[in-house]
Amino acid sequence: MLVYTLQRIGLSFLICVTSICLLFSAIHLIPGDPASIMLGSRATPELRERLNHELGLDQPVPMQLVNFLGRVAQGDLGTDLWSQRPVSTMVAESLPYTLTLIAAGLGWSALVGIPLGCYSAIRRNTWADRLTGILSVGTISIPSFVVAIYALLFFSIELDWFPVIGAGDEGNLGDQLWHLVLPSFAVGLGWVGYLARIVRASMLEVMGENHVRTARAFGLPEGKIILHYALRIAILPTITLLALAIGGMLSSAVFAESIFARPGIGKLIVDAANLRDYPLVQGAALTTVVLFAFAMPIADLLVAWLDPRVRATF
Amino acid sequence: MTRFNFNRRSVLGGAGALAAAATLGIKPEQVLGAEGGVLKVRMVGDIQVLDPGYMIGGAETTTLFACMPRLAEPVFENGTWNWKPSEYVDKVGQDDETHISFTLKPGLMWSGDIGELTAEDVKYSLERMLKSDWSARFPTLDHVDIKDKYSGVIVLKAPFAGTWLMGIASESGSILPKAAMVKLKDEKFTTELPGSLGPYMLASWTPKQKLVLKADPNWKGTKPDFDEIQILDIEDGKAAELAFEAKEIALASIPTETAARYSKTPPANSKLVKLPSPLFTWLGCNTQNPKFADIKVRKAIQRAVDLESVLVGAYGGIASAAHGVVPDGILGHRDKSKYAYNPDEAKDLLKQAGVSDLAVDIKVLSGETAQVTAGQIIQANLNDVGMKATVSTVDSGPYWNLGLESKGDAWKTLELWLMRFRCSPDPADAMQWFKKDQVGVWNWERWTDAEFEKLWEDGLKETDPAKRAPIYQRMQEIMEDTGAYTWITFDPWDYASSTDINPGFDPGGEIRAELIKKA
Repeated sequence: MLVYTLQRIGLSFLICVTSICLLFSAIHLIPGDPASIMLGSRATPELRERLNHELGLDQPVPMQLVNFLGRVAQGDLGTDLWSQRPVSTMVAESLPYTLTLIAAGLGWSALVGIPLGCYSAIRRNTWADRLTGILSVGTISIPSFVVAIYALLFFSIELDWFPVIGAGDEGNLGDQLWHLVLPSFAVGLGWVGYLARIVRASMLEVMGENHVRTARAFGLPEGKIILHYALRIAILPTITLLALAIGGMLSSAVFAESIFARPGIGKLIVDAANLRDYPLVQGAALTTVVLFAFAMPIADLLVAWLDPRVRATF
Repeated sequence: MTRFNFNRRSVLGGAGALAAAATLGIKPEQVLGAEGGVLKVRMVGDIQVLDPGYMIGGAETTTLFACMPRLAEPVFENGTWNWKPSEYVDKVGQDDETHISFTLKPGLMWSGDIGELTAEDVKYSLERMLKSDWSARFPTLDHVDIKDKYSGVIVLKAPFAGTWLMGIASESGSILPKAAMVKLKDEKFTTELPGSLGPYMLASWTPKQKLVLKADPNWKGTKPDFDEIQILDIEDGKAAELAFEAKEIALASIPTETAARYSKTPPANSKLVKLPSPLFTWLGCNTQNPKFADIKVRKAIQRAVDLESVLVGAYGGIASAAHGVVPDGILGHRDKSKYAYNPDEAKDLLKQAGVSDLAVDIKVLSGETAQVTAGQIIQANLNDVGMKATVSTVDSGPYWNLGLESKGDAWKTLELWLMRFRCSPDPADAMQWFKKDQVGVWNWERWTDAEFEKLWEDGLKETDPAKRAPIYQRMQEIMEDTGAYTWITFDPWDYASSTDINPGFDPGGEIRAELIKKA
């Protein structure tokens, strides 16, 4: 198990380093430079050269990459080109909002999707199962930004139930939770469908296993069979899916943060990319890469720990 | 008591019943956009750099006007922008063409322990602008002489009528506390003011969320109407529109399409505030591209564009037609062009030039809905006169490099493009980009004219507005005669405002928080 763990962690580091290199290259391949964007029509050639020199952008790209990797190894993500604030500070300010949004989205989607999948499996081939299937596919197919816009229009504008913009007042947990409802609904809705379908398929497979049949033969209550004998095994693929959902929700968070004018790392990256703010894009994107790269092995390790069949192979 | 057994069994049991993320519905008290002493307004883009020498604009301008002193301030009267002495001075005025004297009010104290506002601060603040990114705002400033603790003289190398509106009375003329500035690294700051002295102080800033200005209790001048102004960062125009309609904000800049809708059916308890636009848009033509070497071809393009269709189709019918680059309300504004929409004349000119089926490409900035639509309408207009026009949308990064010689050879094949610049309330600010030294930089049309260059110098020196206006009008006429400019519009710069307030703005269209009054 220890070897497996170390292997997974090592692989995650390799993924992170490769992603950094690819990202660094991609950012510098984007046309336009921060000096032109920073200075706009004030960008005389002399001002542009001076700014590029101050920002270290006149060095060869490989040298910039080496410098960046060296700084990252020391925990320094660089300095924002515009405000001169440490990128790590800016990321640290934005990341909690995105993590909160993802956690809330994952939480409610799991809370609804898993029971829905179970119910669908238990009521296989009934109208309830078919309806659940249609709704699941429906929620999967609607883009999260469409959900966000229509949720905003209906619940905020029409019904005036929820606020339109912002993340709530700092220090006011109730207000912040209130501002979280619609955005988390938007990012989580599609995953309700995914989780429901996965759990349904998994449950159907497990419900046909010998041990479940045996439990039924012994006359155990159906509820206990479903919860203790079926769901415990069927839930395992869902853990991996939830880790994948983190990556998916990071993408959806970009839209939610823009539409609801919430702070977050997705919005930070989009704004930085528009301004060609290379250090901020790199630092923020690296953070999301690390988040995702380590979410997957954590999920794998959790599955391995929970499933004795996997543990037995080590 | 049994020990809690954190094992596989208990974790699986918990995993099957995830905690409900029930929001307990502690519905916050409905906060109006303007309630009591708190006002909420929109900013487009967060503050990046508040230092007037290196700022970007937007909420930074709003903050500087609200929190920092200056010698003069802009005022809109009789249909044009002018300036008046600020509340920080006993006296300020032009002694002669190259000398401006000022006397500060005594006893105005900076925040914290910085001390009193003195002439030394004025000297420091203005002279540092000469080495800043915004030095173009003070093109003829030489130095500032100090006469005594509160008085001094601003000395110009040459007369420049734009010194007031472009410089002293603008956000670039913000005075900084020298005693605090010299302690800063490189004597620059970004998001933290080194000190403040004004109707408001910067109370807090939550990055990517909001900026809070609170009324300064120590301010001795005119007290602002609102105790607190929250400037919310709402990038998306649609989100801002919805927030305004939900009364979460009381004042917001709105996209053109929203303004067009509000002009017909405004939301309840709201009004549309139409500002003199600081923006100007035109269709540019590269005179050094072989396709457009013949002036007849360029003039044909001018006459082929149906401006009325463009204004209705792309700007919702609420934008005004432009006849130059100096917007309405600014000295030198031009009321009419020498050409008009005339497709027959355009066809005739093309025939005279011996051109048929000319393929032309129009570059437009992607993400700018009005520009993209305008480009498509112009494409149709050009096709109607026998050209084969295409529209290419370009992302902002490469777009702003299209005509720059330092960025490659794209300028050689550049044909037509829609361009929009912004102008401060002095015509020199609009004209500076079309001079000879801007060829290969911002003069993408790549033309020069000796009379234009001379008029540029004359316009800087002339201080009599009655004589200055014709100079800039003639300059625009010269530009038009090259055929390289097809005037489009001064883009609408509109705000949606609650009827509970009377907002105030600066010449650049940014909110002036300290001028907002309760209705």
